[in-house]
Amino acid sequence: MKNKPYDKLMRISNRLYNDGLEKAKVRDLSGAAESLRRSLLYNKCNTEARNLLGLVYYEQGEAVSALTEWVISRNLDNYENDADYFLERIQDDPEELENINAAVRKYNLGLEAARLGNIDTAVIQLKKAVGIYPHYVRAMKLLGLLYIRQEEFQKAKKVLVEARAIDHTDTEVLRYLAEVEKNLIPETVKTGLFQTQTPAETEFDEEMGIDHSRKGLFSFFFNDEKPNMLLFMNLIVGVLIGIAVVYYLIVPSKEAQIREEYSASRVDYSSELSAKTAAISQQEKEITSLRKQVDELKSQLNGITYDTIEIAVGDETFSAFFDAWNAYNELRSKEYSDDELMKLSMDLWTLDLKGIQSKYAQDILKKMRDDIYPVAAKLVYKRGKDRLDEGNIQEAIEYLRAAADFDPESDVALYYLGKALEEDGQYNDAIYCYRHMLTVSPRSTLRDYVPQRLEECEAALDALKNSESEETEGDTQGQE
Amino acid sequence: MIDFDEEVSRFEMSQETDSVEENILKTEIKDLADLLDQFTGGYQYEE
Repeated sequence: MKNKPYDKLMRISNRLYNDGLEKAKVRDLSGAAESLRRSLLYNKCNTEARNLLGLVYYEQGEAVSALTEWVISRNLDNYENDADYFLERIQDDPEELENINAAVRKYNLGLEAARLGNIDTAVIQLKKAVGIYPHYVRAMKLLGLLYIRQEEFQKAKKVLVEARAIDHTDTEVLRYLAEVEKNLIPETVKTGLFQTQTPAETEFDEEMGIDHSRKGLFSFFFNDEKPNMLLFMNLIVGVLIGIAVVYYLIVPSKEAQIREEYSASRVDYSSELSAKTAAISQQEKEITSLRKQVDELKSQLNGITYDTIEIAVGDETFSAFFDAWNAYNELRSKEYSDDELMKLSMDLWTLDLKGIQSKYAQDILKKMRDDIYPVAAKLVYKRGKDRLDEGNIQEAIEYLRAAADFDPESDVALYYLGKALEEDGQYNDAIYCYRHMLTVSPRSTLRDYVPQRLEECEAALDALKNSESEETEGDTQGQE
Repeated sequence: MIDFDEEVSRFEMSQETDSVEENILKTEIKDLADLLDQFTGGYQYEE
């Protein structure tokens, strides 16, 4: 048995559900929600309608309403209910639930601020809410309204268009958009080489997914819009004329200018080259002249080497002088031994300064002696003393005499020279050395020995005199 | 011309997700069938 009133309620509910479904498919969310609510008014157990209403709410950003519908749906019919699936998906993603709650809090703060007239604060909060939950139509609507209040119509339009993309038939969104369009100055937007669009056309293209920048060459050349083709042809003709002008007018004058610059620079380089060549030939002449001078000087030098110096120095001392000079220079340039130093000093000492006629050579000899004598004085004295101790009197005299010359204030050299001379029987010279020692070095430790030495020398001289006088008398008597 | 204050006054505070239960309790889950029941005494229909 059929119950006609209840059947009718069912049918109406189902019809309204179908209506809501059709609207939801074309994103008429507001209309869909209205139909579905009415469907449930006729039959609260229409699970499909309730679940779809929850989905519509969720798409509009009304998560609490959506969850409410799904929970009720599940409670009314828990057998293979799609609400289970929806609720599980939401509950399995706690981050999304937290985002929804955060967005709701921002929205509430924004609404509170807007009610109190703090538009800037409200805008900040609502922007955050929309940023967290981009489907939050309610927050987008309020943000659009605040932008309109601030007369930021472009921003308002942007956010309201986004809201309209979610719900095409939200009456408040459409009303706000109409207000925005009234206040916006229509602008043409360039969409191609010669094509422009009004904002409304651009918006339509955006919604329909038309991208003018992706037009291919085929569509560009065979476009039905004839004026654009004409403009394109004009542009090509203009470019060709420009190329022709450049080729026939500018290029020749530029070429002539380059040629002139090249010629001028070539002349400059030629003159510079000539000047350089002249300078080089002049320098070559100078080099030749200088070489001649060098050769002449060399020949002169070769001619004067030995003869001139022989004349200047003198025949006898020639070899000795140059040997000493070479040895001196050699010692200056290397590590030398005591023997080498002593030999050079003795060579210099034996050189006769009077035999050297050249003043220049004399100066050289003096310089060598001044350098060598102070260094060699002690060595020569020691050699002389050694010879004296050995009993080699003649060599002792030679070395000690040299030592006394090297260091004229050396008391030891004078004293032992005196002693060597005394032993050699040269008493007068010995006396001179002793006395000279006392003169140049009166505080010498050897001074105490000098009186005895002098006494002995004088005694020896007296003895010599006596023996000579006796010999003379003997000879006289013999002759007589 | 939009009256800003009036428009703002139409907006309502949103609820966070923990208020779903409270929202359910507030929701009056009734349909015309329930009204009809009141008149018919809970007559069950057949499909």
